[in-house]
Amino acid sequence: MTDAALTPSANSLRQTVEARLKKRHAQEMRFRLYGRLAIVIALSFLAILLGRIVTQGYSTFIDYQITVPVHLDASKIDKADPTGANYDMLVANSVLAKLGETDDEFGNKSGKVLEIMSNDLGFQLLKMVREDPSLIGKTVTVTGPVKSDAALYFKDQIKRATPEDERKLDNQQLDWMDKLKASGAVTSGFNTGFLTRSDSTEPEQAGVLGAIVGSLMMLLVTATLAIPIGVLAATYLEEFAPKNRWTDLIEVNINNLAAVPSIVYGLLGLAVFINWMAVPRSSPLVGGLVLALMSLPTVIIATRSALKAVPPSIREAALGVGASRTQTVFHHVLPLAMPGVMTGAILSLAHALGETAPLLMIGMVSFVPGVPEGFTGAATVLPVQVFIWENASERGFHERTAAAIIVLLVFMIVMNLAAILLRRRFERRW
Amino acid sequence: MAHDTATAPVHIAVDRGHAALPNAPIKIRARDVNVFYGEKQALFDVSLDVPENSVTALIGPSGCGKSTFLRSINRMNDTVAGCKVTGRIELDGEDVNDRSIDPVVLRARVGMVFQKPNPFPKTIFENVAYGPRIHGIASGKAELEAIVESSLKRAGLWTEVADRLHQPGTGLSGGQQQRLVIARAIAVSPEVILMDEPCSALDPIATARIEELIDELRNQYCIVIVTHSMAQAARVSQKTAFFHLGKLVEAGPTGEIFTNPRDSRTQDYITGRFG
Amino acid sequence: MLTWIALTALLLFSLATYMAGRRRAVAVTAGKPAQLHSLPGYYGSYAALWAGVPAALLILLFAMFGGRLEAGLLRVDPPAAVQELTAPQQDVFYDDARAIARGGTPSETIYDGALKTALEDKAAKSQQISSLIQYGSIGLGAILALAGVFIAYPRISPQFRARNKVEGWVAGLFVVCSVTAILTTAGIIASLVWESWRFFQAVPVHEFLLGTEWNPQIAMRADQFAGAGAFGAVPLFVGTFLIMLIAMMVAAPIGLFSAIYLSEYASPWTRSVVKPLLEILAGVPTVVYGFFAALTVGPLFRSFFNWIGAQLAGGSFDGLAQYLMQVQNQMALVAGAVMGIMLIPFVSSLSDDIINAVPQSLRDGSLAMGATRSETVKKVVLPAALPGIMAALLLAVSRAVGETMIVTMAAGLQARMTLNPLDTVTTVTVQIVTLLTGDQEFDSPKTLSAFGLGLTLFAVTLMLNIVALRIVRKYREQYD
Ligand SMILES: Nc1ncnc2c1ncn2[C@@H]1O[C@H](COP(=O)(O)OP(=O)(O)OP(=O)(O)O)[C@@H](O)[C@H]1O
Ligand SMILES: [Mg+2]
Repeated sequence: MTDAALTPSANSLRQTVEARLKKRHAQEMRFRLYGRLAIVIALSFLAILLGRIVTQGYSTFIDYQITVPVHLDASKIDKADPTGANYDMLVANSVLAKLGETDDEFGNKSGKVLEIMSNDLGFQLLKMVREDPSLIGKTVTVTGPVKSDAALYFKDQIKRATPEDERKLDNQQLDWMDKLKASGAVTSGFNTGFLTRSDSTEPEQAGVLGAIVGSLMMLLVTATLAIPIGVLAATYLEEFAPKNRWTDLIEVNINNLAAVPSIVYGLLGLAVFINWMAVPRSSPLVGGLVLALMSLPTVIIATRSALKAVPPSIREAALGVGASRTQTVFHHVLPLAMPGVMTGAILSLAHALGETAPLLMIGMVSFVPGVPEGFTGAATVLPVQVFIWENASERGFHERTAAAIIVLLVFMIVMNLAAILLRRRFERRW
Repeated sequence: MAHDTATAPVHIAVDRGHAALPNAPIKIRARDVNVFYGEKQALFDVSLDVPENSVTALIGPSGCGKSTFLRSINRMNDTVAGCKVTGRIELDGEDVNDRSIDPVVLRARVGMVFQKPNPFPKTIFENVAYGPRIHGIASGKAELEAIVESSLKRAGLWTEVADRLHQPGTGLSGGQQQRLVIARAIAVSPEVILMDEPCSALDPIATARIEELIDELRNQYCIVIVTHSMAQAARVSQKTAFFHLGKLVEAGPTGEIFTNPRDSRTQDYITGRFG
Repeated sequence: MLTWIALTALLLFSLATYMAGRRRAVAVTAGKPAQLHSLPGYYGSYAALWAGVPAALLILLFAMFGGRLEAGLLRVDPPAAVQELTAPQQDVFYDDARAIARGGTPSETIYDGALKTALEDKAAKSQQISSLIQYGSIGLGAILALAGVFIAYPRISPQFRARNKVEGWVAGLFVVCSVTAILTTAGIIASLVWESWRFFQAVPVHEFLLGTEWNPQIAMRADQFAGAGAFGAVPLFVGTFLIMLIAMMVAAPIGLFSAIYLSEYASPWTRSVVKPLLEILAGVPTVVYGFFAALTVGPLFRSFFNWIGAQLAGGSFDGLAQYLMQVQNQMALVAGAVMGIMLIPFVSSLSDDIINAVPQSLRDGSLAMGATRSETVKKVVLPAALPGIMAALLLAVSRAVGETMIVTMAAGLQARMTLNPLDTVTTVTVQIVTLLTGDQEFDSPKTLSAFGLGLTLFAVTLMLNIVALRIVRKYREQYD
């Protein structure tokens, strides 16, 4: 075979190429389309996810408060022991009076009223009377949330159109609520209670304050442990350690630790911190310890890359003027790497803030109706609060779950923004 | 002037043509080519004729736009975001930037060899078969094998790799890799081969081998080569174009440019006074 | 609290020592500090380190292990009434005694008679012991701090190489911090192996790894526990595998194609918008995905399949229709699909990095041959990136296997040997969570089995990670 036989004329070659062009360009378009589609799908998942959470949760931030004047009937409250009286009943009767109804002898109507009023109103009365027993016999005005089912009706999530036996509230209760609303006794407003109260068995009284404080305390523990240890470890590995088997082992080990499932850290915490060291269960301390171990590899990795970004010329210059290795690193290299280090640290703390699984292992699922008492007291944290509420059966909690997620996401967004700003502010080109 | 005055307007005063090849038809004709990378202009009004079946060398100091000019011939600049080309570049009289020209076809006709050998991480055979496969040139296994063999032979690599065709192409030496890449380029029987400093990563022996190869290939192809070596330009090319700061300073038969440059900048450059 | 005060006091003391050491260093040179080997600050630091560090370590050690020490001491000389209790009851008793002593909430156990007095007695004792430990540790700390000063202070002289000494301390600190990472791994392995070993005393390893029936609830009573393999973990492995497979079927194509589009086609602007958005998707906590799966995707899929079932009912596929109409919210498909969404950004950003590491010269080479972009991607870029992409997918598999919240909230608790995505399945992580939340008796095989599962999970993910990270490392070296 000669070369000439294999070298078709330029024209015929061109025709061969052109014959397949259409097919090839169609393939190209298809391929590009798949790529676009993948991006669109991924982004629409994001939109749907966030959209669903906002639509499910935003209504939590509106609440309905009822204001009623209650006559603290001296015949029903024992001055000597004000705790014994049934304040809920007093509230119910006042509401009935407002509605122009009277209770029947079995207390059916007042019972129904109690299904739409939070028992928070009764608690408020008790508190008032305890603080100032002279109020007994007088009329006081209390304001408190309506029960979450009632709020759902006002928010149009429980609908009158639903057959009566399929909803929790019957027609009479709905009529009453309409009337109360029309009369101005029920008003709506921003739900500050959600941000100023802690967990409760009643959805309308449940808030995220305890969880927020718990999360912050836990993050404080995590940050004070993980950041210094991580930064020092990374500095050692990057700037001082000889390159040998040991440091190689540490390096491989750190990379692997970063990929260990978080639940394994929970098991570690349970076995070591709780069973062996007897650190109190479900406390911010033990949670913070576990998350610190979990965040450590990411802090180390982030710090190392920040240190790598500092050009060697800086080190050479400092060493050249007679500084020791340690001085060079602490006075020159680390300060320059600090923005990168802090960015990495904030991002890993943000990740720790959203972590749930390991905390379930160390007893953080318990019901904690208040702000944690200290670093060793029982606490709950935001993501676990989400988990607990998601498991609750009342509908009112579902709405709150989504709202707690919104709060959690707001915290994470703030942390991420801080990281981004830090990076922008101090970004340096060498 | 060797070429016909009707097709060679006066304004390309800097191109003295290619007297060494008086009868060679013009393969590539560039007129007033300007290239911009975003805001930055890399080429200014370049007009140059490249004769068929010969080697044309582009020389000039670093950053003067040689690669840029080369890459506008096969429209590789299209792949650079923000790159804009104006003016006219004709291949056999057709404007390569015309809408009717598909870059796929254009690049099948105009092959390119890069500074650093870039064999694909595939076997030697697959590397050479790449072009014929994507363009559907070979109609069967036997034909494909024949194409691979003849391309490797023409690239002067066949004897070295005949027994290891199915080993990775990245396992060859630098010079062999560069010849493999040349084999890959000629496997689709292009009309033009563009070479961007093909020898700069090679040792003198491998360089000599490639230069020899270029000289052999010249009979069948139109070759444009960028080089930083004056000696190389003098050895392999018939026509030389000198670029400076994005402008074509002068072009003409290689002998004339090297012995009798008209522009003082050319003079300075070839005598090694700058660049 | 007391510990904090003590530590603060110690800090102040160290500061004072620093000042004193510095002053002394200047003083010993009789006003010519240039004679000193090191800057005066180093002499201060040297003294301060001796004063502060040993004492602080001691106090922290006691704070860490004091609780354990106290619990141990409390059990010395148990009252007769307590001796009659079973071991778990005794544990509860002592826990309650300590809880009362700390002012916390004891369990709901009701004690009366001799037990009640014993409890009050032990509570008082507990308080005593704990304050003894606390004050004792602080006292010892104070002695150590003073001793440190007496060691360091007299050494300060112009020839003394304070800087080298201080840097020695710093080097020690460095090593300790770096070793923390190793210690964490050691801690993980030790605790998992130890507790699993206890578990495997009760349940043979092969029964656990090969048994096909998982029912830890039944096995709570000791007599049933020996019965037919209630701790066979195979159904959990199958469930985990099924959900992982579904997740990868969602995440791999979408993640990979997004990465290809972003690195090969997208304009810089598109990249700068899409990448942060995908990062948001990656930053969403998994509990949020769990909530989304349980309350949005689950009901949606269920009603969809029920609806299909209703359409098919009565036809030739009646059996299938009946099945579809019974499909529940909690199915493998829901957990898998949502986990897949979670993994998209993970796969995409890893693959993006990998694809970007493929040298541009290869792309140029292919494009210059007249290949289209997609041909370049399919025939040159992807084959070149293949090892890296495999590694990225392995890392994603490891994530999917270890993911907990989504499956806990959306998969289910029934251990079934099925590969039907519409069935309820359970996974290793779900079982670990269920076994360890709620009341625990720490010695029952039920609780310990969680560690057996944890060990298996750790071993599998570790293997995946090691392999993947090794491939990535090799890959990067290839194109460096
Ligand atoms: N992709 C690009 N984006 C922006 N500017 C570019 C790009 N490629 C080249 N340039 C600029 O265009 C000018 C010409 O570059 P070109 O690569 O053509 O030079 P060259 O003559 O090939 O130099 P060398 O001999 O060093 O290869 C240079 O100033 C360069 O900085
Ligand atoms: Mg160049």
